[in-house]
Amino acid sequence: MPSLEEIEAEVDSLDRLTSNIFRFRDAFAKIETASQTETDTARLRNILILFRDKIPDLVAFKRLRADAKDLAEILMLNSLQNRLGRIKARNDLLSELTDELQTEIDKANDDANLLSRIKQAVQKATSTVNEVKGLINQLTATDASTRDRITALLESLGNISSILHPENA
Amino acid sequence: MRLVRSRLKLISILVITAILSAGCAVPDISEFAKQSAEMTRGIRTGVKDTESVIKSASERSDLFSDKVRGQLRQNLKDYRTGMKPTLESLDALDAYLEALNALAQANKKSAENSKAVVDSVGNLVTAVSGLTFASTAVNVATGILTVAEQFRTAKSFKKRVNLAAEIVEGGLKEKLDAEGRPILDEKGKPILVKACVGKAEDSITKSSHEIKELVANALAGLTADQLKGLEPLSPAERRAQLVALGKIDGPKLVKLESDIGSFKCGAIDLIKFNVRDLKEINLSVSGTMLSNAREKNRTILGFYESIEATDRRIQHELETILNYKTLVALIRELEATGGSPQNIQDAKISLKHHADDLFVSDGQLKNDIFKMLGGCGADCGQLQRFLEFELCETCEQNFISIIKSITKAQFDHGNGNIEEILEQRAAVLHDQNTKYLEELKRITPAHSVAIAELKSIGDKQDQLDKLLDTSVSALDAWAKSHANLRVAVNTRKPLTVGQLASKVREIWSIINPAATD
Repeated sequence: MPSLEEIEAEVDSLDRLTSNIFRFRDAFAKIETASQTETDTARLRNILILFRDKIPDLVAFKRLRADAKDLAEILMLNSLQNRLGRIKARNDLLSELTDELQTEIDKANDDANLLSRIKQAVQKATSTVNEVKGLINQLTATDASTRDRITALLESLGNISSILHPENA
Repeated sequence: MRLVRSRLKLISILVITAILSAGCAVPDISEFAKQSAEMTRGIRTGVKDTESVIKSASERSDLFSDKVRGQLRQNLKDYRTGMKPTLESLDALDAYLEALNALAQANKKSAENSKAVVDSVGNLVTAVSGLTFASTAVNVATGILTVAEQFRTAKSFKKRVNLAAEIVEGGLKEKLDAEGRPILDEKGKPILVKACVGKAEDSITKSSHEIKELVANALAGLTADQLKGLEPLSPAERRAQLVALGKIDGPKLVKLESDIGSFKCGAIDLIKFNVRDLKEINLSVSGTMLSNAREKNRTILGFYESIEATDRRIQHELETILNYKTLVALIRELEATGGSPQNIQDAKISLKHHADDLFVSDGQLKNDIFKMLGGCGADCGQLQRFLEFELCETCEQNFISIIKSITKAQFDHGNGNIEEILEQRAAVLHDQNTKYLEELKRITPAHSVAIAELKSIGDKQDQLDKLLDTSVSALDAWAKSHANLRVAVNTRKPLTVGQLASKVREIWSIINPAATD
C-alpha cells in the first residue's frame, strides 16, 4: 500500500486540465484504501481536499466527484465521532479531578470565612481597647467604679476568642 | 511586678512581630485570578464556537445531504453533553483562584487589623503600667491569638496551593538516563520532570475508554435494584461497587487505573487534550464544509478562473507582440543612427526570444509567418532559418553567423511582412480580450458571492483554529503561573503571571480583532 507521502505526491501532480480520468481514478483508489487504515486522518483529509479541488468540471468526472464527496463526509463524521469519543472517555477522569479541586476550593473558602470572623473580632477588640484608653485617661487612684468598668471591659476583651470559635462560646 | 509586666510586654510584642512576619508568605494573586478568568472565558468561547461550526454544518442543506445532516445533529447533542465536564472544570479553575484570592485578601486585611490590635494593646499596656490588672496578660494573649489565626491561614493558603498543584498542574516523575537510572542535579537530588507528556494523551484515552466499556458491560447485566443503588455513587465508587459485585474484573481495572495514574495528568492537561480534540473537530467539519462549498460553486469558480487564465495568456501575447515590434523599431533606429554592432546583435537575439515565445503560445501565428517567409524567397534571405533555429547554450556562434548572413534589406523586408501579420493577429486578440473582459464583468457579481461564502467559512475556520491553538498555549502558561505561585508561597519569591497575561491578550485579539487593531 502506498504511503501518504506517495499519495500526496500523486495528487499533487494531477492537473485539472491535462490529467485524464484514469489517473484521477488511480489516485482516488489509493486515497480510499488509505482511509480504511490510516491513522493520520488530518493529513489524509488535506489530501482529499486537494484531490477534490483538482477534479475537472466535466461530465466524465461526475461519478468520481460524487464518490470523493461521500468519502470526505464519511471521514468528517468518523473524525467527529472519534474526537467526541476521546473527550467522553476522559470525562470521568476530568470530573474526578474537578471534584478534588472542589474540595480544596471549599476548604479555602472556609478559611476565608474564618478570616472574616477574625476581622470582626479584631475590630471589636480595637474599639474596646480604645474605649479602655479613654477611661484610663479619666482615672484617679480612688475611682473604684471606673476601675470596675475597666476590669469588665478587659474581661470582655479576654473573651474575644469566642468570636473566633463561636462553637465554644 | 513592674519588671514582670515589662517583660510580658516585650515578649508579647516580640512574639507578635515574629508571627506577623512569618504570616506574610501569602502573595497577591489578584492578577493571576483576573488573567485566569479571562483565559477560561476565551476557552469557553472556543467551546461555543466549535459547537456553532457543527450546528452550522447541520443546517446547510445546500452543502450536505439529509442523512449527513441528521448524523451531524446527533453529534451536536453528543457534543453538548460531552463538553459539560470541561466547562465545569473551567468553572472550578475560576472558583479555585477566586477562593485563593479571597483567602489572600482576607489574610492581608487580617495582618493590617492585627497590627492595629498590637498597637492598641501595646498602648494599653503602657497606659496601665502604673496599675495592677490580672487581665492584662489575657488581653495581650488575645492579640497573639488573633495574629496566630492569621498565621494559621497563611499556612492554610500554602497547604491549599501545594495540595491543588498536583490536581491542576499534574504530577512529576524522576528524569531517567538511557539505562533507566535517575539523573541527579548538582546537589545530588533527582531531577524531576512533568509526568504527563509523550504518549500520555493516547494511553489515558485508551485506558479510560476500556474502563468505560467495562463499566457499560457490567451495568448491562445488573438488576433494576442494583442499578438504583449505583445511581448516587461517583464514577470511582461505582467501579469499586461493580468489582465488589463481581461484575468487573478487579485486577484488570486496577491495571487500567494504574496505567492512567502513572502519567499523573492534571486538570489542565486534560482540558488541553480536549481543546486539541476541538481543534481537530473544527478542521474536519469546517474543512469539509469549505470543500463542499467549493464543489457547489465549481461552475462559476471554474468559469471565472478559465476566463482569467485565457485572458492572461491573450494579454501576455499582446504584450509580446508589442515588444517584438518595439525591438524591430529599435534595431532599425540603431542601424540608422550608427549604433554599435554589438548592441544591434544583442537586440536581434532578444527579438529571437520574443519570436520563440509567440510561436510557443500561438500555433496559428507561427503557421502564418512561416507561410509568408516560404513565399518571400531571396527577399527575406535566412530570416526563416533565424526564426526556426533552436537556441542552446553551445550554439551561440552558429546563431550569430545566421544573424550576420541576413542583410539589412532582407531583415527589414521580412520583418515588415511579419509586423503586418502581427498587427492582424493583435487586432483579433484585442477583440477576444475585450469580449473576455466583458464576460468577466458579467459574472463578477455571482463570483463575488461565491468567493464571499468561501471566505466566510475559511475565515471562521482559521479564527477558531488560532483561538484553540492559543488556548492550548495559554493553558501551559496557566500551569507555569501556578508553579510560580507554588514557588512564591514556599520561598516568598514574587508571583509573576506575565506569560499568561500575554497569551490571554492574544486570545482576545483573535476573538475581537477589531478591538485590538
